[in-house]
Amino acid sequence: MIPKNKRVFILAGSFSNLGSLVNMIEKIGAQTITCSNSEKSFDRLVICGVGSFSSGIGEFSQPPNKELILSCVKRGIPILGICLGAQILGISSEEDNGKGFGLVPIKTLWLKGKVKNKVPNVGWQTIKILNSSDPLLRGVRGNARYYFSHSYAMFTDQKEISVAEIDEIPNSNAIYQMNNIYGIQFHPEKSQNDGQKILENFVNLEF
Amino acid sequence: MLLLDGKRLVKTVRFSKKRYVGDPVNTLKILNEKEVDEIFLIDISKKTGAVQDSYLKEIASELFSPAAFGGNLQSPEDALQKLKLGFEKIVIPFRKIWKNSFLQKISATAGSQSAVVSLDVRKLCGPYYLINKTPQIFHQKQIRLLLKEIQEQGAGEILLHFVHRDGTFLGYDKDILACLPHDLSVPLILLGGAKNEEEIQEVLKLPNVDAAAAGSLFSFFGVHRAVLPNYLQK
Repeated sequence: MIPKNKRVFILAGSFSNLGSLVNMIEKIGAQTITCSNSEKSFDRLVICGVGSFSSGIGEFSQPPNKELILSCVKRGIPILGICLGAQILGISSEEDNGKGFGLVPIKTLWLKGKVKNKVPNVGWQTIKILNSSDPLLRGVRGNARYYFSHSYAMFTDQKEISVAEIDEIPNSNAIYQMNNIYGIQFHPEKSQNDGQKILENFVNLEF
Repeated sequence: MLLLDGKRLVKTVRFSKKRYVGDPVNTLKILNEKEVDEIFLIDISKKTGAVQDSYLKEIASELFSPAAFGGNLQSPEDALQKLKLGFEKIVIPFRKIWKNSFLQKISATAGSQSAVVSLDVRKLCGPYYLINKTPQIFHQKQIRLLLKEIQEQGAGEILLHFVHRDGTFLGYDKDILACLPHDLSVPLILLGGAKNEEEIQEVLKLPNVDAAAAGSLFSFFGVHRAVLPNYLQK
């Protein structure tokens, strides 16, 4: 059951694909707000981005984006970073030697030479769940597949924040969680019903 | 693989004989329900500008699966604009990759995973092929070198399109499949002629093939080839 009054603010980089994300969140039954709306009260924040790390951090660390992210962290509003949106919340990235927000102990590393997979890692993959009690994974089917498209992946020394790893990339974070911040490497808005389930759980989170 | 002709979806046989197969938004809604892995949408309208960006945005927002867009791209800037509309990837024809640094600009701005290079091969006679209608003739074994060349130019994925099999249900070109390179580091997708689900399962077992695409197979159903969007059962 999704409360109809849940409002999701979508913060996106200029290359981000908002249409599918907005449509999918609205299909779930929540309302979406983007930068173009004048209404600024919301109870969920989704940060999505595609493109290079430097372009992403460049945009997200500009006002008012930076203030928006930091105030949500402080107020305990559930945050979901998607792909680049998840990476920029970490400490650093090997891409452009970029520095992230440092909100979560995540380092983003280039996959080349670290995995047997082709780089970029593009396509449908399964995840290995490390913390099955996490509410983001509630009701997720066992063989769920998600759409990935990345050349860099997120790694951490603090295993307790890893919720799931990408099956084919050991130790990588497909999903991380720290306090009110979630980061996911795959694109739920492009992962059909399995992705919709993740977004539904996120909208439904109770901290 | 969906072909857009204005605001209509069509399907061709060997790149001609356009047949209407449905309204784009309706078809995508059906394909979403069938949980399609990926969609390629190619604008084959004769008139450039027949498909407005506002319409493409409407189509893209219906997609809950990854999607690539190609066809009638005016410039790298135009292609980058298409990514903003909600497509993950751009399909660049091989002949255009150097024009205005097309491939390089897409890879550098949006990442190489957004750049799919399509290599259209047309069979001449015996082992000889034409590539993207160029006057130059290629031996099937040279296609291996071409694929490697495309990879070196920075493609994120390569779409190998058998034009002579388009819409024929005759199967992918086995002669070329036999001489594909084994050491490509970017994913290779086959397109053109898919016969049935069994053939798709079969080619996916090949070590150097990463994906199989189809247009007619997913647009027509049954012995009479009635128009009905459908997808793999397994």
